[in-house]
Amino acid sequence: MVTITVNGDRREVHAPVDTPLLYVLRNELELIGPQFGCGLAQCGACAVLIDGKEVRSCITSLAEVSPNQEITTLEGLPARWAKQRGLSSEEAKHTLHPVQQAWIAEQTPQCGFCQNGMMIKATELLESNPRPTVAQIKEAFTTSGPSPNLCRCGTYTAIIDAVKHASALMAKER
Amino acid sequence: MATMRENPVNVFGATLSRRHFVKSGGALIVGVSLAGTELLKGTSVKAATLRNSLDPALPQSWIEIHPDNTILFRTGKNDFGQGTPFTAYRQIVAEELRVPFEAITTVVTGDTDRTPDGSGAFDFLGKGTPNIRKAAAYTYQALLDLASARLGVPTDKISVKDGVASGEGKSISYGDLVKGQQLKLTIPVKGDLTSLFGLTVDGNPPVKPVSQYTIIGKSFPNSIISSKVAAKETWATDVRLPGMLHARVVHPKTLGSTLISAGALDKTKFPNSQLIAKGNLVAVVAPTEWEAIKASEEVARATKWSDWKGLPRSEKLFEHLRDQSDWSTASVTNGRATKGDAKAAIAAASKKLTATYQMPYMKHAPIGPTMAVGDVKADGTVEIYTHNQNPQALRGQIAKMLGITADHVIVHAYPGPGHYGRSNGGNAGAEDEAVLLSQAVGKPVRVQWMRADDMQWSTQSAAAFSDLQIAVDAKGKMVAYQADHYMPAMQDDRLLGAVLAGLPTMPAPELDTESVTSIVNNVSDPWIYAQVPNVTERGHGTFQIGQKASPLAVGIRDHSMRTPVQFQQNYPRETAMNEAAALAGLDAIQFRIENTSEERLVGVLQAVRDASGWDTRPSPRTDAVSSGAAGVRGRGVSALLRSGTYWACVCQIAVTPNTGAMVVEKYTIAVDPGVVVNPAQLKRQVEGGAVMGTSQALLEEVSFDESGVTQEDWLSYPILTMADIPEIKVVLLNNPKVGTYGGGSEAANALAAPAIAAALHDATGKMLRRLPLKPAYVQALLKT
Repeated sequence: MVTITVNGDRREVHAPVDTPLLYVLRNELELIGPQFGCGLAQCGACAVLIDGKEVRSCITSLAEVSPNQEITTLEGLPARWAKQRGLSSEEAKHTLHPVQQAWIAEQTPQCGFCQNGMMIKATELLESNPRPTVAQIKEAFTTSGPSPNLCRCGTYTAIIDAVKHASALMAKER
Repeated sequence: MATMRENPVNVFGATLSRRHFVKSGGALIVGVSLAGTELLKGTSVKAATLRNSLDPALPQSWIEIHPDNTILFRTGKNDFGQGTPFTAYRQIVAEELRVPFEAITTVVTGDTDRTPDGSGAFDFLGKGTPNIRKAAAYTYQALLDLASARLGVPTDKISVKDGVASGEGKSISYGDLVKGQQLKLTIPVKGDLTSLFGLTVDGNPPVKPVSQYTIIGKSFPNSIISSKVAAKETWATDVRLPGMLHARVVHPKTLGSTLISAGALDKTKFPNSQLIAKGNLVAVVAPTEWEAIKASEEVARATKWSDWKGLPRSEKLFEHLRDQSDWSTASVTNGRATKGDAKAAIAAASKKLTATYQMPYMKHAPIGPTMAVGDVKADGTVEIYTHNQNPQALRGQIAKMLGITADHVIVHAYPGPGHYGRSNGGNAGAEDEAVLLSQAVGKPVRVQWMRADDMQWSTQSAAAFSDLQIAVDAKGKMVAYQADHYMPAMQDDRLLGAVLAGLPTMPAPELDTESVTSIVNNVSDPWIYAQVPNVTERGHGTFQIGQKASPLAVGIRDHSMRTPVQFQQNYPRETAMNEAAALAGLDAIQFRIENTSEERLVGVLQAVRDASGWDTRPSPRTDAVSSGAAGVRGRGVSALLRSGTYWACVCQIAVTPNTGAMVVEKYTIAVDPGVVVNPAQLKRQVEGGAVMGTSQALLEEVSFDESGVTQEDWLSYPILTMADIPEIKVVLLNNPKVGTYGGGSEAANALAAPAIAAALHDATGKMLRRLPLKPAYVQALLKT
């Protein structure tokens, strides 16, 4: 049995320690935000944040995650935002992370299968750079991670719009 | 209060009846008529699975009007990222019923036991009259009839606003009309539910005039986006059934390998795994996904397959297609635009061009590989949980494979990674494997293909080449166009698992099939340059490469992909139009305008000319260069008509001649679909198509050796990244006088390739007549 910290909760999991985190999250903890896209860290569909850094859960084994590292999945983005902004638990229940709000406002996803990773990447970016330029957004989604974050439906333009929108929302709610 | 008529009432060919009064609740339910149709071939009326019993009163109805004024509708068309069922369909239903958009509280899509009409996730707007529009139009007439009877006012004196019918000073809401009654409207349909095109609503109920639209034309948001973004949606990948096992399939070593011996499963390492081998279908099933993956990798290493080298290698693809393929078995087809004597006109002309254009195989390349959960129950009924473009067709296919009738099969449709046409005939790859493995172990089985399976064992967009001849006269007028389009069969809908396991499935593409799975190649790119006096267009078809030689009967399987066939035929045609303009010494946009008589084509061409800052002049530019380390710029144009929608696109590129490296800097696209149903959603769809089309134009090409596809991941089959997208400008031309709404998503990927090729020609003076326009090919061209 291994202990990990996911979305603020310590969780005991039973999977063998060589199991990629993706299957632990999806199949054991029923956190279905991260998706299986390639199993090779080449697309970003499985991304989660570990201590605020975007990580590909499909190639990160359980053994590589220490109990005190904070794993955040798509499901944990609202609470992450609430904690950062000191919102009450009641407020937190009824809010989405500004990145999620922006993704809806800009009607960004098409099939949406890659968008978990896109929102995780956007959160990582905006936490370190609250007002990114378009060039910085492109750099973040193309060269900053283990691979480019790939979208087959071609929503990159909508993602750029949504990151800018989220940036504005976060500045407003500061 | 007037009394409801007891006898069924005929409403423009639909039948309205009251089944009985009810004490509470009540509804108007709009179902299908079974009379005179073959809804499910070979199916008994008393179905094996109660939920499939095809009683129109059961909830596979089209529309339900509830006493609380809420409305539900159902469509067999499953969303694939277009969002249409949740946006345009909602708007269309609300518009026809004269209710607010928000009154439609529930949209049910895809499931074969809960939706009425089948067909695929394509052509959603159906040239302006999709099934759901007609169903809503019939429903409105029935509601008018009900209101007339209740209010005692003739129907022509009744008007409806926001779901309230009024006339002669009296009014009643839809909710009150249905309250306490169980009303049934049966609308006429035709067709075969499990065929590619499903059922079609018959007849011609009056539809609301475009001039009275209040809901169509507004940018309503897509409800499923919210649930996906909030991680609240259940995707196909999330389905977990009690006792479900995970499987990985060990696909054959080559596209023609047969099984010699399946590798042993080491029970000491994988105590809970089972090895399943059925014919050439080999798989490992395990309680956990990770054990299934590890055990299947070990089994794969030890499994022995026969060798096979029956493919031509991708380097020799076009030689093989031209010289070693059978183009004589399939009859040659003629395009509808054929007229005059192109051959004679070309012979007589002073300025002419003969050229061949080549399009490689391309992958649908969904972001997630295909997956499905199959559940074969003890009583022989089958349930499948998957992301599928045509659940009813899959249902028919699974029934055929298992030798049962379709009423024993239910397909549950969920969201998943878009795959752009790959499953529009019913399967994306994993569905039938999941069913066969579930049957073998007696438990629900989840099959998830790995990335390499999806690259190497899925179908692909067919390769093609076209021989074109064009001629212009001394005044620069285009006098002749002759096209011979060559393409192997473009749609193989066989179930791969059934093929591997040696079970019944539909035939491989051959001559005597009437459907899209024939080897016959039709001319599918509508000719839009009516001023050209001599036109010949022919389609030539052949068998899929390697399929007949493969001991598995597999080979390189093809399947329609976004803008199928037209993608393959429009690229050569529009590239040739650009070449013809250059030959005539005329501006490529002006040349198109002069050769057409279609006002809407002129409209989109003028719109992209204005929006892109196009400088009117012939191509190539006077200072075009084809060598050097300095970047040069160029621009090109393309146009297309599909599903009632006109498109034009301008691409502006920069290319470094010495390296062949090219950047698409700006991409401007104009679209006239007639009535724009939802501007914001259409803009996003067009942007996405622009990116996918740019990716196809610049990067995408399947490589294969003698044995199979050699690409296995995103490094070997790259697609466009965010850093490489052009600055995209979308111009929507709302054109209500057209009176219908055309397709607005699919074709958006087809415009990039010819416009980028023309821009390269503009910059360098050289036209690359093959796709993709990748640096090695561009560099080689510029050195000639």
